[in-house]
Amino acid sequence: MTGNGTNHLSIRTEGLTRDFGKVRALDGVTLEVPAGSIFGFLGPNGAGKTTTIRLLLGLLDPTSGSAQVLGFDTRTQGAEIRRKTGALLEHSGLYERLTAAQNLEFYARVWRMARADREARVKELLGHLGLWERRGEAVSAWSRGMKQKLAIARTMLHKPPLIFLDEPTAGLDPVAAAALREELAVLASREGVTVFLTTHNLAEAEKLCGRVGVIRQGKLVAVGSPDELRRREGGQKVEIIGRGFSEQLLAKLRQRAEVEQAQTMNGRLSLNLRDGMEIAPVISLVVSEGGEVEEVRRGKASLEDVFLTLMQEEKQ
Amino acid sequence: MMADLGAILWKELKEIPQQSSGRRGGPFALLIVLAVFGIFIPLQWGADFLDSGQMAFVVLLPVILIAAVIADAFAGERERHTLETLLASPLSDRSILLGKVAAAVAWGWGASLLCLGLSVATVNFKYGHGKLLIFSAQTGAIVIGMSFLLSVLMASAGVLVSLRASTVRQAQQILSIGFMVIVFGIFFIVRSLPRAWQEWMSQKGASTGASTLIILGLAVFLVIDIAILASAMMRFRRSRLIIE
Repeated sequence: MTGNGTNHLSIRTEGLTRDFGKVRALDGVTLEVPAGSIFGFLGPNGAGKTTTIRLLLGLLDPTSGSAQVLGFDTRTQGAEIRRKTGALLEHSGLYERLTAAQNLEFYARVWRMARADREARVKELLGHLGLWERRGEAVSAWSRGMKQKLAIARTMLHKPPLIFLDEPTAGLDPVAAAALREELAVLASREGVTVFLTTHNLAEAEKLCGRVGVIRQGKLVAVGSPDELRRREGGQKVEIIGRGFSEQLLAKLRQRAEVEQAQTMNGRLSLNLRDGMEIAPVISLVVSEGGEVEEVRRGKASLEDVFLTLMQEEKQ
Repeated sequence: MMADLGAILWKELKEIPQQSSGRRGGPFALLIVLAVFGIFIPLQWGADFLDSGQMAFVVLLPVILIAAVIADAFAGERERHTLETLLASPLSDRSILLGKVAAAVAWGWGASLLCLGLSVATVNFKYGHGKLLIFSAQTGAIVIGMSFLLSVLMASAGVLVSLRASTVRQAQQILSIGFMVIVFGIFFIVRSLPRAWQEWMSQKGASTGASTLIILGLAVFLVIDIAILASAMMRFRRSRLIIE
């Protein structure tokens, strides 16, 4: 159920701006998030991701611009938005003195779930996440990965059509992060929920998200599916493994029409070629300049490449 | 509103007993307080206990109990990073604030009433000899009414301080210092009044009936309670708390 908005969009913002004193944390963000999708909001620390979530939840008022979440206006209908969404913010927000079951029971009461419903739902979610056997333990004794799982269960407790997750895998070791991502993907698909996920983990965004937006210093600089963003980056990525890749060679490569970007990393030569360009003349140049080529790897740009390019544009 | 308030009350009453002494220690400490003030002292004092000055402990007990836990109300949530999630819930500002005040009052005043009931039972068990011993109406009004109003006062003032403090320790320090300044301040102000004024006040007190004095005292505390609670409600702003 939504407010007075269009049903196919879960989130719609128009020129959303927020200042804190003289600092502009969010600068004219215009964004649409379709219902039923997992939307990744990417950006470095301090880019404005958390501020965006706070604005979308109606916890802060925008300085200018507007936003509708599930058709509700964030300025005037914050309480309705919070009633119909779930949120895992910067911290898990769990009460460590309480048990896992008590943590969920409290929020089930907050969302006014009937007693029978909340008992069944707590059992269902904890069971699905493999936490049912440990429901009676105080959360303080749990690992961070388990706490994050429980916090995600809390966001979905009342079956909201939209959940906000602010860097849910931050601080987890790679194994725990991968497990949590998997659980999240399964839960989101099973529950049919729209997910607004902020992260600076690009592999995570690539695996989970149907669409991503990249934010930099409060400005939305790119939106699209990971494939669309990779195409935007254009061309192909070539990695040459070998020896003798001098600065002189790099300078010459950068002057070639085929080459968009050239750099060495850990003794490897990494090139971005423009669309439709041949690799052979480039390899010839490397060899003629004294480079020894052992292996050539070709591939598409990753989301990380797109992200780094977008961040470098700002520096330039 | 009532359902929201009930949810906060439920959570707070699960957490409060664990605040100072862990999961089992909190209720155990309360049992000791009840045993001392509800059984041991009434047994020592005798049949006159229920109308003695010793009943003042029932009035002061909730103040002590609430002072020990109320600093945690918002400063603790902020310190343990649970406040933002709570604010991101659909609970109204009023239900969050009143729920925390109500939980502290339920904890402190509830213990006070339990202690009162226990002391009545103890005195009757030991000294009743088949006759019901009970406190006078005046003592009852003072003990029950004043302990409630002092509970609300302490809880409201504590919530107000806890809203502003960045840590629990800071909130506790402000509350302790504030409490001492008020108590000693009143004492020194009264002592420094001109002798003639002091005599006029004691004459006025003696000539006014005890019931009138009790009602007047309760009314004064009621007004103070409402004023502090209102200022706490004005201070509670979601957007401000989120940024802080």
